[in-house]
Amino acid sequence: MPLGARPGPSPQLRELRRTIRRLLGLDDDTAVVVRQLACTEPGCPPLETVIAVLPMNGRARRWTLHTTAEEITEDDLRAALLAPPPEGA
Amino acid sequence: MTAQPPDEPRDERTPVTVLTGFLGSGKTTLLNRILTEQHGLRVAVIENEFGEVGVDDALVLDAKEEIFEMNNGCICCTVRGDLIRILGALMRRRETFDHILIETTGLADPAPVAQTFFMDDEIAAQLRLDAIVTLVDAAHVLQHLDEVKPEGVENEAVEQIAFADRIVLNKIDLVDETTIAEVTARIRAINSGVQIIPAQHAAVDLPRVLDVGAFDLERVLADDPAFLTETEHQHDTTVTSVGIDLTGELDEKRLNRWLGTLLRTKGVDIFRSKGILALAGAPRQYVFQGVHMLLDGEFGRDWREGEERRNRLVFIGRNLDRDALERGFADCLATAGAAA
Repeated sequence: MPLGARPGPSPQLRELRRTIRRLLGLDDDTAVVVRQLACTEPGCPPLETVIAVLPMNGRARRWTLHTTAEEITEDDLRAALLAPPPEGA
Repeated sequence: MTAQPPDEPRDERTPVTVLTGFLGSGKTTLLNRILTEQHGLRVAVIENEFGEVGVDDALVLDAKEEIFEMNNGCICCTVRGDLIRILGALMRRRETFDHILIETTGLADPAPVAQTFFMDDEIAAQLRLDAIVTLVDAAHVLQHLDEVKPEGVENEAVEQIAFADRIVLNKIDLVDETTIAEVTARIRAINSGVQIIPAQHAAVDLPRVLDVGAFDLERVLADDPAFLTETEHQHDTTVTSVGIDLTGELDEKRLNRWLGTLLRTKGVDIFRSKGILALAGAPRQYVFQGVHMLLDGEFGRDWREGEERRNRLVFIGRNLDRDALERGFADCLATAGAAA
């Protein structure tokens, strides 16, 4: 894909979101955003994956995994999401 | 309304219009028109300044502007957390409305709203950002544009004009022709390609602001092909447009490297970008739109037989270096000699 454009919805991202919902026990009203972003900090890998969880009522939370979305495993998610404290919003 | 090419599948996503403008510019008047005129659309409205609109059968939702950073400290990746929540809920009742209208506060930066549609692919799969429509008060906009802000504080009036796809130049009955000409020139100096719609009492033909497809990749640069040649700068303004029109085919690797570096290093200052590009070896045009660092792009229509391979792109932003942009882009041509 030229220009690093957003690849659009993929089954893999959907599965990632499903796993995040299951691990965190989220309801349908809670929004889950998974996005690969170009990292601008020195020493970072070129792409990082940001996960944001925004409940309808309550505090939004965010995690950054320094890898591409396709390389993220359920173990990675478990380690990141279930290890307090998450980054605040 | 947006014409649909006969051989293209219809975009079934719900269009979303973002309405910006200073307090007193006529946003609420336009909103009332949209909600009360007989256009046949069921419009869901997301408002930050709740209270003045009261239409019985309209779906009006209150939103609290919540800026959410997707990564640390980069304004390029801020989104509207409240919108992600509300739009997520709205998507579960899509059958109850045909169009979504988001009204921002008078002092809002449009970037996080637009970036919300670039950031969340679930939202982008079901909703399409149609256009950013900015209401401008012809009688007062010059003083807003000239307002000197403290270091590091944005001039919101400039930002709202820079981000706009359509500008409703409202209250023209309150000013003379000279002022209209001056306001138009100031708007063009910031955002040279924007469509300006003069209006009194926010009375505009709604098809000019609703479902116009300004963010449709197929319509990139289609509104006003002449704007790229407009290079006149009558005013000393730090927010400007730079258009590039270059014939030839691009080396994809060089283009990726140049554009990637540009957006990574200057993305904060590049408010919007869009273009139609000819990639070497590609039978179809490549079209893209960007807001700050976030890009959305895809291959568009086929190049026609004998059609000149022509690249057209535009950047709108702060402190843009026209020469550096032109040079950098020209170096991406496949014929540009040794790669940098």
